Amino acid sequence: MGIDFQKYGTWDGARSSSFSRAMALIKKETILALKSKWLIALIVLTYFFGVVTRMISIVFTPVKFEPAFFQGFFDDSQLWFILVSAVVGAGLIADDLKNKSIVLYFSRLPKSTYVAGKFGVAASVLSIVVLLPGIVLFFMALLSSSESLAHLLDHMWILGAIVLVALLIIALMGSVSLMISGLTSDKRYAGAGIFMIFLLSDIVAGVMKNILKNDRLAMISLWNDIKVVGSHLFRMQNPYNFPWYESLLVVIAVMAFSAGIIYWKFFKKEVRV
Amino acid sequence: MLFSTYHLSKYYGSFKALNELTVDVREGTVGLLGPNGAGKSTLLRILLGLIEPSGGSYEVLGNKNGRVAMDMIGYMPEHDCLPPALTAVGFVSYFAQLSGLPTDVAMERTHQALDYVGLGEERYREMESYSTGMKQRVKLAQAIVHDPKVIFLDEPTNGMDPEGREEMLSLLKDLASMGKSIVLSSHLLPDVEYVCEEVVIINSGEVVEQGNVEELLGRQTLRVRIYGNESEFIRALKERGCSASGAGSEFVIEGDDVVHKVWDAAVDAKVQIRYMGFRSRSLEELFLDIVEGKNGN
Repeated sequence: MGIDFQKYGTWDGARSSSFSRAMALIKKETILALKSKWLIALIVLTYFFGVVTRMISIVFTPVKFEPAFFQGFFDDSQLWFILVSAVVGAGLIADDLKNKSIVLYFSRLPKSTYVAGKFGVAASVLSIVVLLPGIVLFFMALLSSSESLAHLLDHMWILGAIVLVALLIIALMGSVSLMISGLTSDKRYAGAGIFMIFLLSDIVAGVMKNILKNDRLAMISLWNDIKVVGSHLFRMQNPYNFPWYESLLVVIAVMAFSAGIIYWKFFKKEVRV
Repeated sequence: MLFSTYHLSKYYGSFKALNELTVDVREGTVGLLGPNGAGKSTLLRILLGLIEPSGGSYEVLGNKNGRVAMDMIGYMPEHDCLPPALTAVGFVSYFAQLSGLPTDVAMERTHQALDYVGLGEERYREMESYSTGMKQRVKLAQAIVHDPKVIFLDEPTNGMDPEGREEMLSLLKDLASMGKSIVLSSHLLPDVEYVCEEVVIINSGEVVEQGNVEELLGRQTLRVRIYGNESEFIRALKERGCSASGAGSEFVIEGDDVVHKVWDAAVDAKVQIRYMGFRSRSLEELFLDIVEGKNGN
């Protein structure tokens, strides 16, 4: 009996939901993104400097199971998060604009599913360097801690704080990356733009704060805002002289602005290729 | 109905790409013809839901403003649209999943579609190394992999060698024979004539002619060459209800009982008839007559 080759014909099965399609987009594009050796190198470096060095220190000198240890991870890894965000976010939409495949997406998917899927790609990759190591650190510190059981149980809320701070970073970086990537068809410009937004806001905040001697100007730095909200979530002292909710408002405003630009670019304006 | 538009308009600033275009197209194979800038691509992009019209309404497969019909539509764009770093298998199966096919079905149908369009082992190579003809085949495969009811094709034979072009047109005919509707936008009139049963000719954003290709081409015209006073001859023809177009002493004449009327007009105008014969028009001639306003209407 020979091999029976099935020929092209009709198919009348049930089609999957919008959610499944967005998941297919996220899965495929995350795998593609992770094929970049630059991204892999950055992920390795983030883990090395953020997790491995801390784990080594835990082995030699048992740390206190305190919020400062975990917030330190987020603060010290800032540059790596920004770099990962720039590398993964740059090509999210810019590549589709460059090779003009965006019309194929829009002829198959609602624009909202496309945008949500692309955000999901950024969020998935950022989770690998922001959320996952935070959780790993938490359990490593928990297992190697010499604190009393009562102390550990009293500090279980730290896991919630880690997740919330990580989600805030992912949401902010994901939305800014998506916005910048949607504004150009050249991912080099997009990558530079993402990097500059976070770096420039930090530099401008630092310079203006020092010149004008006004603590509130630190709010211009997106990273300072994350730090202030993070301090509140980790129940630590606010490093600046303004309330945490003002920083949260700045972060939400930046995310809303990014969403507005995406809406204007893809829903109000015609996407031309 | 495959698609209908009602007073469909699209403006780019003061430029009217579509000017209150109203048309009803039945399911089947339809050719969209028109000179550059006529509005074909704009119409196609509106029907696909890629751009919003400035005014009017449209339906695709009975769905108002097209969006619900997404899964029933396949689109093969004119321009290059293939991500260079993907293989044909990866690309087509990915877009099959985006069209709602389960992963295993998407992969199975991807291979069937790629076999169908004639892409062999090259399907496992990254697409940046493909020739134009191979890229066109992949674009067709992604447009049909999810089993759409209607396939919109924008210049599908662009850049293909004669052999590849013939194969592509045969594939389109075969797809039509499977019951799929084809909307073919092309500047290559023989392609449209070969594939399509119906044609919609657009000029300046308006439909200037629509109908069955055979019927449109079947309208025989009388070609006449005369010697004598041409303007007097045309006047005599018009008095008899015939339309005449042409230059110099050669005319294309349309009307009922046209042979007798031409003889009578020649007698009246005192001209000699040096040649008279019937001829069917090619789609190209029909197109030029209509677009350049040479049809005497």
